[in-house]
Amino acid sequence: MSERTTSIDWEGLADEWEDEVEQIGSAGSRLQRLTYFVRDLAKHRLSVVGAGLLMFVAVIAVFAPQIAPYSPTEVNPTAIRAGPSVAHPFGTDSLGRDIFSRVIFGSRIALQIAVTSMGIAFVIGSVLGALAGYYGGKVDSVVQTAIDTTWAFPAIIMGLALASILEPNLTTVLAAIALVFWGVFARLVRGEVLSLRELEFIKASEAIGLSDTKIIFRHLIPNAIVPAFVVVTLQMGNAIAVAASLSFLGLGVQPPTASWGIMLSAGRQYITTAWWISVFPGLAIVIVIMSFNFLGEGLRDTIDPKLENNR
Amino acid sequence: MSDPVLEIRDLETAFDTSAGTVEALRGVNLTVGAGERVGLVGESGSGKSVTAQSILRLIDSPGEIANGSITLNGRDLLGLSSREMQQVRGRDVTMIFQDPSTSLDPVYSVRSQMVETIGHNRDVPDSEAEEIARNYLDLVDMPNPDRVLDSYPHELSGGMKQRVSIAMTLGFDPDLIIADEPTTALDVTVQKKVMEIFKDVISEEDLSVLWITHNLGVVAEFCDKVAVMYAGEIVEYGSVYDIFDRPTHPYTRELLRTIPNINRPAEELRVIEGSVPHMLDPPSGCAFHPRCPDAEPECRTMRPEQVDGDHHEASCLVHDATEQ
Repeated sequence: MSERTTSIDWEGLADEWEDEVEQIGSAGSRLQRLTYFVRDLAKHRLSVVGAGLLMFVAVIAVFAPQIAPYSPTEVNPTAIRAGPSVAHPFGTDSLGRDIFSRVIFGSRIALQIAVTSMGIAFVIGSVLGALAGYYGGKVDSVVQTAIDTTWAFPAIIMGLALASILEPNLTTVLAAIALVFWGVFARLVRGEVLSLRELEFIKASEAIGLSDTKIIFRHLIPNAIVPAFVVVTLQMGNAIAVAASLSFLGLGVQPPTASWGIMLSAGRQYITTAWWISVFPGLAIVIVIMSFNFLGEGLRDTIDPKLENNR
Repeated sequence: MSDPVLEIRDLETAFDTSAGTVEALRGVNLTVGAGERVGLVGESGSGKSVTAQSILRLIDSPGEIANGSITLNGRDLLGLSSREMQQVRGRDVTMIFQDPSTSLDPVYSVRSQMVETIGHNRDVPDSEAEEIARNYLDLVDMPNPDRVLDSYPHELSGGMKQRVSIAMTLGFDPDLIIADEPTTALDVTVQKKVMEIFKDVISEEDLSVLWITHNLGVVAEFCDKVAVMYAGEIVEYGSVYDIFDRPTHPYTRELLRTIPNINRPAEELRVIEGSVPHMLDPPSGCAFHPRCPDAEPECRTMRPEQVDGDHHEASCLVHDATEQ
């Protein structure tokens, strides 16, 4: 090989590297980055509406005893199926209970179901999905078959089955919803893991002798779950819908607990004479589900700009 | 010669596919001595990376090491349990990868990655691991190591990320580093600088390196010994001087001929006619005979003896390294 004279500007390169190090962190602190994220999210108008409404509902749920004018179970024989008035803004039901107060307390159950059932589904799904994606082979076949099996039953059927085996209560509802939805997260995380494991930092983690547990929980799952956050938000709406349907069928949370599904169901025979019994809890369900969907879509567009469709 | 760090004997690795068995490695012999830098050169698909993965025992299913032995510091790696092998990875032998853009985990800061992995491989507390990390970042010529430690991978350029990977790898204090073309993804000036830094650190620490590359220029500059791979075999082994001054195997000669020369009048780039054989059905006899300019009739049927991988030797029926 012939000697060639090269004129590489080593000093220049060294300076460049120094400059580069100086610029580290110019993108801002964690707090600033969070601010940027929120600002990007805020560009998506509907997600602001969704987030705002959800925050409002959350505040109502937390402070329900302070906000509600009556106890949700307080019976008033003098005001049976009374229409909306100043004393009862949403009217009263067949037992004279204040619907306004019951809708407020119902938000507690709704949010509790959304967060807990999706939390369980998310954790189970992420772990099983990551295991399936990382190990492949038999583990993958077992997980995939399990997903297919749970998906063969609609959520309502699963709830019916569980409620008839166990007793219909809050735990059963949570279990049924988690059982139906974990597959969504498992599929998603599995797919992410399949592509992540081809990347060199995962191969490098293997090459430097990290244990499988460390690779899966410290490196694969944290990298794979970001898209799952979006789906969690979107599915929380679905979880509320399923929970409301189960309550409507009498298979969910049991009376006298204030649940929107139960209230909807209780008012259906009076829909022509006392519309307020069903309509207000129905509206509450619609608003919360819509808010989750708006927020979820906003998150999706912000986290993955490739999917951006300006609305 | 002192005891070699790495000794590979008759290594055969095969992949059982639905189309048949792919013999990726067909009897590889290779020795890396203490403090030696050995270049493993070959075209894509010649089996370089499979050799590296075999040493670490990270061959993915359906691949399998079918035969042979791999000895690292006198320990037979193929006889170890997978738990013992996990201990070997990182502590005794470790690997630097090609693509710096994906070689660090994007969700953790450089500090937490370096502290985690160095602490894990050296059994030291976090504070000490951080000290080691800082020292090695300094050693790879990183200005302001503390600032780099605080950064996330996306804030660093390719050259910087690769130096972080190198510093991290060195921090494990391994006996052997396998480097899988760690500079290919960088632009040439950065490549040269990173190589220089790496070379300095290696000689300072007296490390053994197996450098996998298809770039003969890199080999000439960096390595003491060269193993030329073709179709899952090492066809020629020797010192850098042997290989560049007295190439024996026709494949090595053809490979050297393909290096563009600025002093040669403008002409088309030279290539080796034909392509790497498909390992599902390797040619009979010498695997290189269909492309070999010196092929004799017996090359079609007789398989030349494998090189031993400790002195200059070519696996060829026609040419003999000692003749020259």
